[in-house]
Amino acid sequence: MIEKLRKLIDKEIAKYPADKKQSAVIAALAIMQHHRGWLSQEDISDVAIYLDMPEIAVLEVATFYNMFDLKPVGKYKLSICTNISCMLRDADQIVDHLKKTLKIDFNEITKDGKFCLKESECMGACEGAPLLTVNNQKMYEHLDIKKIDQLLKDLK
Amino acid sequence: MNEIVDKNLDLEITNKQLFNICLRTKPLKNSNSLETYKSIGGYEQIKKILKNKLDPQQLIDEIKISGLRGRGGAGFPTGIKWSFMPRDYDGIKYIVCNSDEGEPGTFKDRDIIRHNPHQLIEGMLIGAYIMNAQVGYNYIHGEIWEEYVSFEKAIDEARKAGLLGKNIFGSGFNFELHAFHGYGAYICGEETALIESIEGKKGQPRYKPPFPATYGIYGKPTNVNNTETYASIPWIIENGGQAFMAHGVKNSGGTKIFSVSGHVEKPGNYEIELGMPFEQLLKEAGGVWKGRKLKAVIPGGPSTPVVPADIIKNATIDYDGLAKIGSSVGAGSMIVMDETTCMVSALKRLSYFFYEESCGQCTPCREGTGWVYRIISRIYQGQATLDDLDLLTDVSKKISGRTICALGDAAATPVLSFIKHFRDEFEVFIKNGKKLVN
Amino acid sequence: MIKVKINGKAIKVQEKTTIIEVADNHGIEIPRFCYHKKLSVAANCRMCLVEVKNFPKPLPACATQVADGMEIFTKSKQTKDCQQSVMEFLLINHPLDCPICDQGGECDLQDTAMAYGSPKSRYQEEKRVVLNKNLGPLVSTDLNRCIQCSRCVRFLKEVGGMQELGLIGRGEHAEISAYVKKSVESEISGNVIDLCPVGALTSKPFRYSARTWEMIRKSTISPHDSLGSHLEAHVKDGNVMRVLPRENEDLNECWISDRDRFSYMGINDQNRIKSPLIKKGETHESISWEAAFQLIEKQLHPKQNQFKPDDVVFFTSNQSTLEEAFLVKKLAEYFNSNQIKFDAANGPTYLKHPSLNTQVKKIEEFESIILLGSQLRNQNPLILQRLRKMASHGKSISVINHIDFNLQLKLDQKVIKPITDFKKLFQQILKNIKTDFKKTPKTAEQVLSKIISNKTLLLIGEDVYSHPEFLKFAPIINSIIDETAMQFGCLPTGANSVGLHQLFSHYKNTVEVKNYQASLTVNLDPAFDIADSEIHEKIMQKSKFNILISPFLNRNNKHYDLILPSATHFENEGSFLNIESRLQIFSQTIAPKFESKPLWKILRVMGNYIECPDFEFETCSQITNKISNKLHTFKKLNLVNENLNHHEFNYRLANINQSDVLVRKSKALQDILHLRNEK
Repeated sequence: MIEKLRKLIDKEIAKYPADKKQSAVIAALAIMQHHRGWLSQEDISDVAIYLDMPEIAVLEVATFYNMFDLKPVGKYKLSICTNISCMLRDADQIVDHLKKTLKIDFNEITKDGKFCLKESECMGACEGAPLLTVNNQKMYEHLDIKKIDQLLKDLK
Repeated sequence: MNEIVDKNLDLEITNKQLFNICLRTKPLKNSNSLETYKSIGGYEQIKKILKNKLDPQQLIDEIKISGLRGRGGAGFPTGIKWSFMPRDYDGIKYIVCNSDEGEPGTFKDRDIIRHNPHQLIEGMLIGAYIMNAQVGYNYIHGEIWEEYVSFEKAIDEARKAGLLGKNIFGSGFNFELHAFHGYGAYICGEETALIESIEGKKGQPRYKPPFPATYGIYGKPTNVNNTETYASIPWIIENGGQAFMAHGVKNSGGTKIFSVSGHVEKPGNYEIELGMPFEQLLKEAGGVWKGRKLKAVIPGGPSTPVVPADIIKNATIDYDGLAKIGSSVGAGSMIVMDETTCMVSALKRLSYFFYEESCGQCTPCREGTGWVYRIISRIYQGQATLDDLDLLTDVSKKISGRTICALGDAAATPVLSFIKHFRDEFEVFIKNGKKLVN
Repeated sequence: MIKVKINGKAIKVQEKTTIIEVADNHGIEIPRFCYHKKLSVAANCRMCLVEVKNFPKPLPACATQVADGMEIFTKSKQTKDCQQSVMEFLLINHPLDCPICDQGGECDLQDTAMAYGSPKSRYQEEKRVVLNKNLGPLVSTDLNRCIQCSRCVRFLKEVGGMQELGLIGRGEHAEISAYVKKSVESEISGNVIDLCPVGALTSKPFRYSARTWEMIRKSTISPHDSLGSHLEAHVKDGNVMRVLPRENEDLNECWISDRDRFSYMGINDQNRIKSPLIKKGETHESISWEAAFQLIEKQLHPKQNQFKPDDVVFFTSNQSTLEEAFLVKKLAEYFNSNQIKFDAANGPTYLKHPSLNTQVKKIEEFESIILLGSQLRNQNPLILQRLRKMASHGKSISVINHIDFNLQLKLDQKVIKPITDFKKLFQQILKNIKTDFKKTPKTAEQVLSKIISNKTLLLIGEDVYSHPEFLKFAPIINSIIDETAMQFGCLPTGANSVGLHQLFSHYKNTVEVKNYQASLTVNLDPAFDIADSEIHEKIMQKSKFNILISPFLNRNNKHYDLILPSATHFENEGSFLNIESRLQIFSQTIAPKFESKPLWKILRVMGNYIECPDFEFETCSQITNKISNKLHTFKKLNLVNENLNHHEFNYRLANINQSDVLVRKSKALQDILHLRNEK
């Protein structure tokens, strides 16, 4: 585990009682994932050792929360919400357009390794429907075809 | 409910307006800064409480008078919930703010965190004082990373200003608050699943009893309330329970944020005085988009029953008003559907959601949600028979009420209400293999 | 006591019991899958939902405590509807492969479906497919059958002490798994086979070899540790097909160790000795039993040989039955020999009658346990399991040892020091106690001084009370006992350690290295089972006529002039005194293989040939009746104050999969060893 990540994880651990390091497992996995783009087996084992948890318990967590990716996702993971409020605002058209432009289906990576498309559940921002997030962090709202094309151009 | 309150509310207040309590700072510049919040009298309430060492029981009574009910969906009276926390517990107690809003169509907590984080923090401080909790967490929905970051900033700001940490306002009162970032699990909005998640586990709801008030985080007494609930507290303490109550109607005190999404011109958050007629709220949201006709509304999020246009048209938006038409306030996640909406497609998507988000613990939910989704998919693909509608209803009824948490009930609700009100649309789909609407 | 009504019948029940416990205690059937009385309550399968008056929703009987006046209906329309619907839900993703499932015929799901399910399914979509996982040599997976009850996960976490399995994924996609490419390592992991209510986890060695209704069930006792777990061997066509626990709350509860479960696989090992063997040059040749006994008569009959006292030497293992040991002792007396190493794995006896000094189940009544020495995980995993249970109930478990073994439990205090420092440690503790130590304890030994009370049980491992150093600090322990009324117990390891120490209480468990006329080595392989194998080797070289009686050939057989095939435990009969001095009698589960015979019979005939008096035993139980069994309990350590030959002690690391001759021949148990060695 590299120093920079360890420091970030330590900051999370500090939020909980000394004997409750396990509470930081989701944060620790998220930090590891943000660094690599996805969670490798090594990452999961590292977190297990660092937080003094059985590896299987860390794996349980990593497979339960669906923003974790246990396989590579390319440089930019585009998670697009298709749930009811986005659906009513024609998210399907955005999805179709993305699939066509990137020539991939959900859970696939473009040949150049740049983009991956994920179907997502409600992100709690339906005011801006339809919307998507990039790499779990940056959210783009009120999407239309034009905005999507611009976004794909901007993500280098 | 308190007698005085009842008397007041006999004067049926029909003239309901938008009124910002939780979103007080939203229209202001630098809405989320400590400075802005202080400019409207922020942190004066906790200061007053700490300086005067106000009696927690009196404060609870005030909250009871306000009629404030849990804004996360269950609608449990907040004052009563707070009185469940053991007073003379010798050890650490926790309070948790539930900002894990994952119910489709809900985005109100996000706005509070974005625009008025300090009112939430003050609400939690007051809660911590009343329940004598030393540590708090705010569990923030995984998908809204930017709000998580901004809330961490708000905490830092408050901590630096001596509003969090040790010996707040020199009163000897200590309270530490941390933000917790979820990572994609609707079920963690359920308070015991959320507690499990904070403990670093899969978010699987616990069987109750014991309730969190006796056995919460790490087995310690814990109170969990929604963001909006906590954010309402400073205003109630400032203006009194009566004043809050007066903004609403009987059994539905105060204001409530409705997140209006879907087919309206202006999707967004509308903090309304409870009791506002539906038509008025719809108008505030710009009316049905593109000048189309209203078809149906899910008033409080998918775990509340869908209501056809002609029924909701005359309803008022409050706990009793929506109960009267067979639905409920829920989390205030109002999803508006116009005449072009295919109810089979809508139900299919909602059923997929519950199937995808079932934690998998309880047999009826784990197995039933998938089954329900597959039947609806069959209907959608034109491979179903009319008997399948009865099967769908029956399976949903057998999930409902038989699981540890309410996700089972929530999964059954859209199925039962969609079929109840729009059966003909499903039948046409089955007979013709295509949508009734275009 | 409070009153509740079940199905209209009023009953008085203890407060704080759950509906399912009340029903179980009163013979009222409530179906269940996830609930298990020894595991935490998950309340997730929902099979035990029952209607309760005044509750709008049905309640899970496993998680609902009874309340005064509660009216419960286990057969009402609502309850039945719940049961039928849960059954239907469970079966939609469960394959209909009962005919090829090992669980068929003893499957909770199958039985419950017959009793509570509907005859037809309304599910027409595809069933879930789950890939199987390799969990190691013991447990086979068919995860399509899994109903996610999580019993296996909870067992390994709560009883095994380490979460080795998990339910990964979410919702319908959740599946049982170990961590990537890991196999389960718990020494009691096989219990998940019994716990699994369906055929998702089954015994790998037993796979497809027999149907439950084809087998005869025979009771026996575990020969592998001093707990003496109650076992049930399932026999088909004269072979043990599998071994399961027999429930016994006092000892093994409903668990057994993997060693108990899979040692039967050694019975038919290729190294079984098929007939008596006589040494011819560098090798051995097969001879008849009669010829063998004639040779014994020639070599050992006192009339034909001139024996001086101590001319014959004996080696037996702590697995030997009371009856076998009794006969060996009689033979030794006949030869006027004191040269008996009755517990070959250990050095000279420093302590008289080492035993637990209490009952196994009473361990849990203590408030604190101090484990002094011992390699419990490898020696007595089910006693360790009880300590884990205590720790999870908030009791204090501490360890003093010279090696830091991972016990997979939450320890209160841990002191790891060379055994030569133990004396100082106990002196310090005694001093603290005597001076009414008031300071806030800082070091582990200071905390221990505070912990010790009359509710403390000091458990002393065999490797400590057999250690020469023990004599130096044992008197200090006695002083601590004087001060605090702390209680103590010993942890002998062998199935019959306690019995042997009782029978041979006047012997020192030490032998001289000198020229002998003859030697008898019984049921052990010196390469593994003798504290100081060099001594055995030297004696073999110096002794004129060496006999080995064993089910299996040893690693090195060159010294034995005569090798006689004895029965393995499952072919044997006899009795053990277990760790709490409980007499446990067992009979044959299968007939001895090849020409092998139970050891007591071999010894008896031997005795007859050499005209040993009082040797006319027709049955094993006639011998049992001859043995007087007295329960010895002590308030203080009862030390042997004699000069003993200390050099015979070698501290050896115990390995649960190599503990005795039968275990070492079990393929599955050896496969685990190989897997671990590879890592």
